[in-house]
Amino acid sequence: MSNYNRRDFLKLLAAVPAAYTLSRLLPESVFRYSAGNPGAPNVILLVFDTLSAYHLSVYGYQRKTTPNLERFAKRANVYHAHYSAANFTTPGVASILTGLYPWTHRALHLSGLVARELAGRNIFESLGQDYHRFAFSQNVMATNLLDQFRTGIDELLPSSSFSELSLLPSEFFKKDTNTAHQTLDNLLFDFVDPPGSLLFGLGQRLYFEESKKFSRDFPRGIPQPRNYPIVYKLEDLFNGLMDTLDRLAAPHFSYIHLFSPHAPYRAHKDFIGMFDDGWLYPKKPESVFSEGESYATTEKNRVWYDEYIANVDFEFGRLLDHLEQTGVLDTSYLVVTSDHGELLQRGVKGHVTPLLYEPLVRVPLLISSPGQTQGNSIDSPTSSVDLLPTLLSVTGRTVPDWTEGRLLPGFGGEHNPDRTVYMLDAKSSSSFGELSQATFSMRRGKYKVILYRGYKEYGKDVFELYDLENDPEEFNDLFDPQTTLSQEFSAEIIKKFDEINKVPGRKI
Amino acid sequence: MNIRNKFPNAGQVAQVFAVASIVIYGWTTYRLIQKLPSWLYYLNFQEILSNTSYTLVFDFVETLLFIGLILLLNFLLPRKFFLDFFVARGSLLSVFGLGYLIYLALAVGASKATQFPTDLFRWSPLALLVILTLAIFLPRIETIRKVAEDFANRAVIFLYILLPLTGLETLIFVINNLL
Repeated sequence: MSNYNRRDFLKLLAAVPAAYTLSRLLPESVFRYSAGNPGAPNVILLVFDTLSAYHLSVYGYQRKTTPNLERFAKRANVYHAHYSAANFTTPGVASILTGLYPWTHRALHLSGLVARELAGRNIFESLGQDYHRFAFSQNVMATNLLDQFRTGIDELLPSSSFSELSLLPSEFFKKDTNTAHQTLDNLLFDFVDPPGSLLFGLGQRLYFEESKKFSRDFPRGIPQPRNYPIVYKLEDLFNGLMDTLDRLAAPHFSYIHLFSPHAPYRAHKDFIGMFDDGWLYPKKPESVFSEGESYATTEKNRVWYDEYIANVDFEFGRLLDHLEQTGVLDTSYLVVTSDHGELLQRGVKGHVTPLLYEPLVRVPLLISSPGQTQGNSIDSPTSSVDLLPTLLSVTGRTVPDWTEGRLLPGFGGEHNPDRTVYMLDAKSSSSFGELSQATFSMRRGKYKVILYRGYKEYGKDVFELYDLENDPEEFNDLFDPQTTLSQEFSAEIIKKFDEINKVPGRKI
Repeated sequence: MNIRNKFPNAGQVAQVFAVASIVIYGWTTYRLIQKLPSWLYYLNFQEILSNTSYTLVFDFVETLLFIGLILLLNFLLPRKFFLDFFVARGSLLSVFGLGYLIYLALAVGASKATQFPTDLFRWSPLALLVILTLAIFLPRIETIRKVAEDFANRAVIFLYILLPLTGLETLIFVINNLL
């Protein structure tokens, strides 16, 4: 200290305004790594709800649904055999965030939760406080899970953020969101079944319907998370996200879950009619679990879904431009994926089904590393449970031993075309006990086997076996109990199913 | 004129409150029972108990609101149109009015999320006017009045169960949301 005198101090003081002026002139990205872990990359995990890889031109779909994802693919690792661990939001998201398969995390139902004793095992907690951990989901069921992980989340936005109108009652009960969600959103103010509250429930519903403005820009209605009183415009949503990403302190981990292109498929008018090309998807045999949707209706829905995907892709393109222009992509991992797919065939529309066909579980996964300029295709089978270990690894964390995922190829994981990944639907089984009724699927190499257990429609264990390399549309069920191949796969999937069914459930 | 003379006594209010409670709590309980099997699949006992706290608190507030509306109506209408047979008229209004709301709730549930039955709601003011007229004039028939009054009188017994239960659940609700 004795080397500094009053004159030196005054010189230093004079430099303060200059430094301040300089700080205002330099781009914000220069100062991003000012939080707890200087130099650490941001991670933006962008989850589109219900985005089936089978409908994306970036994965070879006939219609040009995703030109902007294709543009992104030129600077990202593209996973061509990536699977969600489940066929609907709750287990799908839980697997992404916990790195655990559904039979372990046990969030098996629409409004289900991760096994309470495992709630601390999630990506937010594992990242630690060096990161600003941000989360936002438009899907109320995913928000429900995020709320379960909230001790590890620094900033959790409500589902209604960036919306035109929201009357979601549970958002008024911030200290008890899960219970409020179960009781208010799904019972007293139920949007699917008769509301349990006669005055408030009906009043809310009437007010919502009267307040929802018709917009000429959305001839099929303004986008709305099915079953919940929220309406939003994709443009406003993405503008809001851009502003949010601009303001987040670096390094940040951002989980962003967008409801589109989930049904109802409500594209902006600019995208309506773009696929009136007369093309029809090959007709497939009706499933035992068919909902009775006619082929014509399904094909009409396919066009609507594809148009909605194109709309979402357009907005993604704007986001991509913004991230490029602001330099965020030079300092961030950008992950684009989905929680599950959508089935528009075999008499089924949607994903609330026991089926695990490819369009339901094969989802996009594209990851760009900071500053990546080349695209990279990866064909090995991968699973949504791989995201947690991979993202922890790239951010310098130790991969926890409890995760059931592996490092993704391209990020330290091995390229293994014969790797086995699993998918499960068990929404008709209890979270606390054995999986008495479930569909379980296993992909290994070019083969995929499906086991249906406990369904009254079948009355016994039923298997399907497909060669995805030669029959990616799953037209030809190869299962024949007389062949060695079928015997091997059926024995193996039963063995695995029995193994996962030994996971001790919690008792009430 | 003393304004208190425009209102029924506490006992009469309690009887109508009891009738309204039975319909409001009953409907919610019916819907809750329908949800219960799925809740048992993924919620534990403590969580289900917390859920019921919300339903009872909301039901209680809803019943208070409904009684408030009846008292307002009673205040606005001439004595001979409501106060004279307050218990019978209030009870009939509770049963018919809330019954109509149940009908609307069922229609909304059947219509699913994207096809709201707007036309049905457009006719609701007329339907509610008819219900009000019936509630006002039916008690002039002695048999109907006596049945309504007897039912309301016996319904009070339910308050001995509902109110302490609601109090307990309100406590859980408050603890969950404030502490």
